[in-house]
Amino acid sequence: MKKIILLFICFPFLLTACTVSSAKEYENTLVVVASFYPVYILAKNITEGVPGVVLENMAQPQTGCLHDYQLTTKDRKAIENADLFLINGAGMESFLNGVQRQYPQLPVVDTSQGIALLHSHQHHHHAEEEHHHEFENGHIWLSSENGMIQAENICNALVQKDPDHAEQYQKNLEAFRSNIHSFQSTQPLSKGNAQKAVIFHEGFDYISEEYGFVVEGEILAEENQTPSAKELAQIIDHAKQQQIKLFFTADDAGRAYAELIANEVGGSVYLLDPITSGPMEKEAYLNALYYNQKTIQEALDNGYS
Amino acid sequence: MEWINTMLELLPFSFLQYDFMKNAFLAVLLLAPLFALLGTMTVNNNMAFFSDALGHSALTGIGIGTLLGLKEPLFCMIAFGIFLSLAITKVKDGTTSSDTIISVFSSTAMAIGIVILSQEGGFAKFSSYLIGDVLTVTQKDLLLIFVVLLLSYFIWALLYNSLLLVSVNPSLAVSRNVNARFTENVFVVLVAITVMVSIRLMGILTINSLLILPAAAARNVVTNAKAYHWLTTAIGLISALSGLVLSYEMGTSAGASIVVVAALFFFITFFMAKINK
Repeated sequence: MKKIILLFICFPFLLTACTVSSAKEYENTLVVVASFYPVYILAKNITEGVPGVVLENMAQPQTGCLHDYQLTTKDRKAIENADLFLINGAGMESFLNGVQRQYPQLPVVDTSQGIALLHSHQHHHHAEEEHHHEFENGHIWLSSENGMIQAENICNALVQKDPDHAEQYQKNLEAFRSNIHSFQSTQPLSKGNAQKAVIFHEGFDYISEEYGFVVEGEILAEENQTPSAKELAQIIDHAKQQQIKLFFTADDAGRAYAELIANEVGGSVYLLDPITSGPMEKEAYLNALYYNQKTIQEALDNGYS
Repeated sequence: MEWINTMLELLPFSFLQYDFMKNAFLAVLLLAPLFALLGTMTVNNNMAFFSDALGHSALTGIGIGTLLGLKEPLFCMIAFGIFLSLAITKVKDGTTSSDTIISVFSSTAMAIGIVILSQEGGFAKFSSYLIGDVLTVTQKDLLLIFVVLLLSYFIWALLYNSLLLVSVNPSLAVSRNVNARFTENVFVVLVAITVMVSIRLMGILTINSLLILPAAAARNVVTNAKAYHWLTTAIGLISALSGLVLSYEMGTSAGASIVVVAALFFFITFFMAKINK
């Protein structure tokens, strides 16, 4: 019996021994931690090729949006080692309050500075009746213009923290900027060429703004929200009445609702990339922008000219 | 399928003009008798806690499904559900009280599920399973539920007498050459399949109440087995339909609304039984 108890007591120590800690292996390096995927790939564009900078992503790439994200112990370890903690801002990192209380010294960089936020309530079809509170829409990275501002903010923070490599950061930013500009010059729609659409992802408000869509309805089925039958019925009626044929969704929980509604009113579902997961490389951001552009172009070619 | 749609449109519910509500309507119409059938026996055999454990174990099934990279974890959920129910039936005959055994299994299964699903902090993605969503039910799902319903009626017809005997008096059952262990195993497997097939629609947190409440409500007032079954089915159907109407009108979760109506029935019959005494 005694032996068994002894074994039980040893158990937790055995487990820690298995996972050898890798604390502070980086001396003389600048450890930059991005809060999640879009911030990471934007930052990657700025830090690429600069010696002595280690860029890490806190949340795992498959996490998706950070609503209700719970920090894992691994995340805390990453944050604790950070010289700079890049966040998307605009309310996306709701876990941050607790973290800042724990690590008051944490150098947080809010990349949303200087970006005009959309307010989610503007587009809610059912907003007039029930929901009068407005909340900020934090999915800023989905418009190329905002992505560029975020990259600029990241660059400024890096230059300030690591002035020795200022020139390289700025060169990277310049390259990124010209890529964004050449992307923007290929837009299929000019503003005001308003097509009506229903979107199934909060972030697509920003895409709609960039392409000049009018969001006639919005069903948010992200993670912990499920739309009610009434909400679906209202959108269906509205879509029928307004003859809306465009339904933009991400390949997530919203897709089932998009297909359900498109079936009912006879429109088509188009999958856009919310850029919350994907390859961890710097080209990923522009690739995703171009992918969305191609999809939107297809949607417009199918019956809209 | 066309004639079903046409028939549904004749019903006096305005929400039936929408295809998705038609599907949801059919889903609860199929699920209510299925749950009633299994619920009567679950309540008789004091297995309410068991079916609760089964519902929670769905999380592990989902978890294993994601580990294997499956997009639709239903198969894993059913497999794990069957495994767990057989394991509980096997172990609970021992010395520890079955309460404790079921609780141990239930919490272990749930914890394993959460450990797998909360990897990288992403549990929120799966929280839709907790409450369920009957609105996105597809015709394929409906077909599956229909098959399970037919299967259950078939097995029910074959095993009804032995099941009843086992639940009323196990030793008498053994003397009549009824294989109690086999009968019980078939029954728990059936419950496992039913729960897993419908959990995405009804939700982990509420599914057990759907199984237990109609039967429990009926048992308060009935005097024979036949009436018990039919009253349970009736209460199940009425709560399912009124729950769906409520959820449509108030924008609430369908599963939970159905449970609330069924609970109302339970308290009504409970006090009816009290007064009649």
